[in-house]
Amino acid sequence: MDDRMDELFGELTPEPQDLEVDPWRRPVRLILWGILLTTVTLNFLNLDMLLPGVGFILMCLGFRPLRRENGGFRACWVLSVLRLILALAADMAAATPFDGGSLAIYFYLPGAILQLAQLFALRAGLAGVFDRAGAERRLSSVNRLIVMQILVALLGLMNVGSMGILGLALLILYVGIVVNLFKLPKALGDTGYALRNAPVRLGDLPAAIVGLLTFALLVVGAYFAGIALSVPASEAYAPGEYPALAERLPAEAAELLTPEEAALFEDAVEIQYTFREPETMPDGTKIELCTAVAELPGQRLLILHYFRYLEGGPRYGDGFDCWQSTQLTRAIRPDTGSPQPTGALVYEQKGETRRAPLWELQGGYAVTHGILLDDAGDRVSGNVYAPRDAEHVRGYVLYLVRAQKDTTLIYNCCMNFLHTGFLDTFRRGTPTEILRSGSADSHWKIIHLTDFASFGEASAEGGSFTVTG
Amino acid sequence: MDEELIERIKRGDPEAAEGLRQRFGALIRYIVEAILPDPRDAEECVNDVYLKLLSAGRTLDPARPLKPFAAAVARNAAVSRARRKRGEETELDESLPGGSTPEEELLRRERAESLKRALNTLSVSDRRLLYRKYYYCQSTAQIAAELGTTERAVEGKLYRLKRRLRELMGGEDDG
Repeated sequence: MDDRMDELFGELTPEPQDLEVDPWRRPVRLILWGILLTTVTLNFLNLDMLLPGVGFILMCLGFRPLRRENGGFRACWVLSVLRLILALAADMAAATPFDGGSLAIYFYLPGAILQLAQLFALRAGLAGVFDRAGAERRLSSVNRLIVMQILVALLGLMNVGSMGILGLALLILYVGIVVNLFKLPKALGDTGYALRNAPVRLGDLPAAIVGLLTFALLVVGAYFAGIALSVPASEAYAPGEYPALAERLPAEAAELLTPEEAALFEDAVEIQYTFREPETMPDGTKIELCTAVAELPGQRLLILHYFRYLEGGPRYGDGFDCWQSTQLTRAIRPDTGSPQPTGALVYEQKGETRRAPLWELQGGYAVTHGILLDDAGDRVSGNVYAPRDAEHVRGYVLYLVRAQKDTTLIYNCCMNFLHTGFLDTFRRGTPTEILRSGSADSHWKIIHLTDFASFGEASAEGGSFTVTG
Repeated sequence: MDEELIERIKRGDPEAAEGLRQRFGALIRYIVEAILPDPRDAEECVNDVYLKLLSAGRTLDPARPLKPFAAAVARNAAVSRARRKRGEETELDESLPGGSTPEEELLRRERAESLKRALNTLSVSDRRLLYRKYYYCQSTAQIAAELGTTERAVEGKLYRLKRRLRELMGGEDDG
C-alpha cells in the first residue's frame, strides 16, 4: 500500500500551502514560549508560579526532539529538565511551613545559573545548526537575551526590588528581544537543514498534561502536607479577669491577655482603641480587627492588635504584619529593652476552649517590595493557624515600641491582616516567610487598618509621650 | 518573485542558480536529506536538482508558482537516486510525471486527479501529514518528532487517513 501511495503522490503537484512543512517551527516556538513564560513574572492569580511551571514544561518539550541534533541542544534539554525539577522543588518548598523565604534565596542562585547556562547552550546549539548548514549565523537576538539575563540576574542578586522607570525600560527591551527571537524558526528553516530528530515516547500534548498534573499534584500535596506539619500545640484556656483593664480595653480583648501582659497596661497614661468595620473576604469569611494603643512612660507605646473571625476561620497562610507610620519614615523602633512581641490564638474545639501560640510571631526588620517603592522598617509579623474544626477563632498580638525622637508624630498603627483563599490566592510560604523573603505584597489579601490618626507628639519635658489626637 | 526568477532562468542569467539556491535551497535540502540519509548522496542530488531546474525552467510558465515544481523535481530526483542505490532500475522522470504508453499515462493522470480531489476534502494538517509521508517520503520517526508526537500516533493517523482516502477514491486504491 505504501509503495502504491508513494507512486500516486509522485504524480501530484502539491499546492503551495501543502508544502509548508518546517521542522523547526514547532520545537523552537515551544522553546521561545517557554523562555517567555519563565522570565516574565506576573504577581497575581498565582501566575508567578503557574506560568513558569508551564514555561519549563514547554521548554522541555521543545528541546526534547532536538536533543540529538548537537551538543548544545543536548545540554539545553538536560538543563531544561533540571530547571523544571528546581522550579518544582522551589514551589513545593514554598507551599510547606519550612522557611520558604530563606529557601527562595537558595533556589534563586542555582536557577539563575542554570538559566544562563541554558541560554549559552541554546546559542551553541543554534550556532551548530547554522554552521552545519553553511548558513550565516543569525544569533543577535539570542546574544541580546543573554546580556539581558545577565543584567537581570545581577539586579536580582543585588536584591533590587522595584526598579521604576528602569524596570519599564527593561521590560520594553525584553519584549523587543522576544519579538526578534520569534523570527528564529524562519531563520533556521531558511537553512534547509533537516533535523536529526530524537524519538519521543509521549506526544507533546499528553506529555504537557502529565507534566502539569504532576507539577500541580506535588505542589498541592506539599501544601496540604504543610498544614499537617504546622499545627501549633494548644492548651486549655481560661479567660483572664482584669476588671480595671476591662474598663479601658475591649473586654473580649482584655480577657485574652496573660497576667504578665495585663500588668504592662497598669502604667498606661492613656489608652485609645478603635474597631474596624468587619471585612468580608471573597470566600465569605468575615474578620473584625481592633487596635488599642496605650501610652507608657518613657516615650513608649504599648500596642495591642485584636482580631476575630466572625464567620469562617483561618486557613493555612493567614497572618499579619504590623507597623506604625510617622511622617514618611518609620521613626518608631520596637523597644529593644522590652520582651519580644507576644500574642495568642483562642478558639473553641469540640466543646473546649483552647489557646495556641501565634505561629512564628516575631519582630524585626523587613522589606517588602511595592510597585513603585519598597517598604522597609521594623515590623511585627506572625502567622495564624487553627485546626479545621476550630470555631469562634480570635487572637491578639501585643508589643512595645519606643519613639526615636522627642518630636515623633505617630500617624497610625497598622495591621495588615491576610486571609487567603485556596485557589485564588494559593499561598507560597507563610506571611512571615513572605515578609522575610522580600517578595511582593500582592500575594496578600490585605485589610489595612489605619485607626489612629495623629495619635500623639512626644514631649521632651515630661519624658512621656503625650497624646494629642 | 517567481516570475522574475523564471525570466532569469529563461534568459540563461548566470545568477539564476544563486537565485534558486536562495529561494528554494532550504526546501530542496529539506526534501532531499529526508530521502537520502547519506550526506554525499544528498549533496550530489541537490546539485542535480539545481541543474534540472535550470534546464527545465525554460519550459515553465512564469505565471505559475515555482515552489511546487521545485519540490517535485527535488522529490523525484531524490527518490530516483534512492531507488538506484537500492538497485532498482526504474527511474522516475524527475521533472514531469509521465508513463511509457499513452494509455498508462492517461490512467495515471486519472488516478492522480482522483487522489487530488480526495486530498482536497481533507484538512490542511491531514494533507500535510500525507504529503510528508508519501510525497516527501519522510520516515514516521521524523514526522513524529517534527509534529511533537509518537511514531505510533503518526502511524495510527496515517492508517485512518489512508482508509479515508480509499473511501473517497471509491475504493480504487485497494492497496
